[in-house]
Formats: sequence, structure tokens, C-alpha cells
Amino acid sequence: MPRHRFITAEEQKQIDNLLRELLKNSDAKTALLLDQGGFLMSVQGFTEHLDPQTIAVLAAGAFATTRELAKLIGEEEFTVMFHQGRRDNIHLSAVGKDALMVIIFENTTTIGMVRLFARETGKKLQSILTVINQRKEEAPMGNIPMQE
Amino acid sequence: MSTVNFASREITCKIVYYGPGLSGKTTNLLFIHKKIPAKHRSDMVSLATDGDRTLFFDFLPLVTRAVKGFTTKFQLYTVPGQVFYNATRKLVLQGVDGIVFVADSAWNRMNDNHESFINMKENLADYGLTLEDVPYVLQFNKRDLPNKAPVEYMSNLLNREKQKVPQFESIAIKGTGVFETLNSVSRMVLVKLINELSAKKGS
Amino acid sequence: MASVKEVVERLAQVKGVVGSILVARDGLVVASNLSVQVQDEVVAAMVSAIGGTAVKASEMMGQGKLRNIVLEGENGKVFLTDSGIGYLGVLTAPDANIGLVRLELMETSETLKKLTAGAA
Repeated sequence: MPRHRFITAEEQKQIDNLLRELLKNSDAKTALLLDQGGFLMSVQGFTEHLDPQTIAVLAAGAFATTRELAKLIGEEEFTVMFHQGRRDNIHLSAVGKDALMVIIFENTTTIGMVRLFARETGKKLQSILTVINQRKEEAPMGNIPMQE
Repeated sequence: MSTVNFASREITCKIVYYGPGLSGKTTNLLFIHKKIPAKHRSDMVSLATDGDRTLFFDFLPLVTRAVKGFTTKFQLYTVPGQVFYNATRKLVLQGVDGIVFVADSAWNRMNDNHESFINMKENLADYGLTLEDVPYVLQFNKRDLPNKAPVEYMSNLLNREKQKVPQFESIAIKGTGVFETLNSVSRMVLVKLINELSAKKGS
Repeated sequence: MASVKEVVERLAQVKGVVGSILVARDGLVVASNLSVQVQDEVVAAMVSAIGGTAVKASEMMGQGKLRNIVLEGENGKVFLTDSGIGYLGVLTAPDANIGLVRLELMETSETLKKLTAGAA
């Protein structure tokens, strides 16, 4: 794992757009992209009354827990998790090795639909993340001076 | 792993409070949370059991302006101290940028302090890291205890790596030493980040 | 471009069709437009069971890749086809025009394949 990660403005835009496209296609409400440590890379859709940062951290925690569970039963990893509520549901899926996607959706769409497009979006996100993660450890845009 | 986002101009770093059970890691975060101006903080997330013990982790995001032109975000985590939660502890360490090791000053906790420190090194090793890779500071907490161990003793016990690190005496419940500790580790994390960035540029 | 949901729902508006459903291979509903008498989950489970068996049966009996399945009941018919990401099914009234329904089913299936090409 590289010690630092740099996300360019262009990559951020691509990530944001992919999540927005996912929301449009799947009819879901909110989509988040985070790394497995809970660091939030993008949040799109409805965020009113939501605290995306906390959702990200807890989702990463939940995913990490299931990964340990998986190991205990001899599985490498569970790649998809689904929490069903009365009205709102959460779909969590692994994006490559180090990222997660959280999709919040109401009962106006289906888990099947969300999963379908989550898979598609996940693949596209993964190729962007691979570029980010393989980036050499140097700032792509000049130095970052420390403030006194 | 720190993240530098050039779209939102944000730098995010992860600082983990490590140490044996009941040494005051969550107390540190609670005090910081209380003192941070409301506009700079979000809610603190605490996954605790009934008995006030951290079950999974505590999480507190902070926003500063330590780096010119960038919003600097520190994400503070604690680990559960109890020995049997090692799997969780290891998970929380993933991608860590800086560590505060919170030790309990009570004489009868010296063994626990030492064990936890060793455990931290082992868990870091699992991510291919050593204490030379990750900036860290020591905090000797609960200095108000009557049966406290002398600072020299604790220093000898815990600050014995090749590179000596800053150590702070604290009474976290009253806030004494809490910010000194945080400021020190966050500065170390940023200095390291910036050094690494400019070193790579020069070469 | 229409969404997957719209495409599946539109199929139920064909004359003689009383319901349509798109089911992932493992039986999860992707989209549906069924009447209240039949539950989505029940239809989905049946569709994936029949679909899975039929795909295998067609190959093992030397008939090649499955094109579609017709199930005739007293109260109507069920048409199923493999649509890339899963099975597309329609439920019809007893007097439905079979040729028309089949044509619409195939066309819809092709549209869905294009819409979900990235997810397959």
C-alpha cells in the first residue's frame, strides 16, 4: 500500500459522475465511495439528514467485521452486504481490494436493480482507483507548503 | 495512508490512539471533542459496551488549516484496549499515519502497558510497518493517581526505541496534556508528509 | 435512453400481457410490473428455478443455447427468455396473441442486453 494517495480534480470528477450515473440508473437515493479504512472519497445524491462521514466509517467497520467473519469460516471475503430496513436499505459492496461502495435506497427500487448497477459502476470505479493507487509518491501539482 | 485531494484541496490523515484497556484513550477523544469549536467538528462516533468500554472504535474527525491552501483533516480513532479484541485493533490500525500511545500511570498497569506496546508493534508489522515508519508520541496518563509510576520508569519501559519520541504527562479526564499530545503528533504527521512529498520532488 | 425499470415495465403494457419481470440468475428481482395477485418474490424464485433448469436441459438434450421457454397453464401462459444478466419473463392472459408477445419479449430482451452490457 502506498503511504500517500493523491486524487486529482479530474479523477474526483470521474468518480462523482459514476456515482451519479449509478443513482440515475438504479433509482437509489444516495451513493458513497470510501476506502476500507472509512475515508470518504465521494458522496452523491440525497444527503439531507445524513452524516456521510459517519456512515462511511461505520460501513467500513461493518465490512471489516464481516471480512473477519469470512476468514473464520474459510472464505476470503464477502464482497456484498445488504441491510434491509422497513423503508430504507443499504447495499455495501467491495470495489477492488481497497475501496467500498455504499448505496442507500428506498423500496421504490429493488435490491436486484441496485446490485446490477453496483457491479457495473464498481468495475469502472476500480479502474480509476487503480490509477490513483499506483501513482508514484509525488504531488502531481507542485509542492504543499506548511503554514506557520 | 494520508490522502491528498486536489479537487477539494483536502489532506486527510489518520491518527490512532493505542494503549491498554482503560488507559484513557476514549477520554482523550471526548475531551478534544468537547473543546473543538462546533463549526470544526462533527459528531463523535463511539461504539461502546454498557460498561463504557470501547467495543469497536471511537471516531472523531477534526478540521484544521495547518497546510497552506489545503484543508487538513485529522481522523482520530481509538482502539479497544482489551486483549481479546486484537482483530479489531488491527483493523483500526490499517492505513494509520500517526499514533498516540496512551499508557496508564498506575504501578500495577505497567505490565499491561508493556504488553500493549509490544502488541502494537506486532500489529503494525502485519501491515509491513515498523515504529520507524509511523510518527508516534507517548502519553503517560492519570498523573493524578496516588500510586503512579515515576515518569523516568515509564520512559525507560516504553520510550526505548532507537529514536526517542516526545512523551507527555496527562490527566485526560481534566484535559491536562491532551492537546499538547495531539498537537505534537499531528505536527509530526504533517512534517513527515511534507518532507516525503518534497524529497520525492527533488530526486 | 430508457431505464431498465422502464423497459421491463413497458413490456407489461403489451396487449394480452398481465405482468412482466426481470430476475437475476440467483432469483433476485431486478424490476417487475406484476398484478397484485402474484407476489414478485414468488414469481422471481420460480423464474430462476425454471430458467436455470431449462438452460441446462436445452444444452444436455442437444438443443443448444436456450432461446425461450413457454409454460402453458389453465389461466394463461408464461414466456421466459435469457436476457444476459438474468431471465426476463411475461405472464399473459389465456387469449393473448402468442406471436406478438414472443416478438415483444425478444425485442425487450435485446434492449435489456444493451442496457446492462457493462454489468454482465
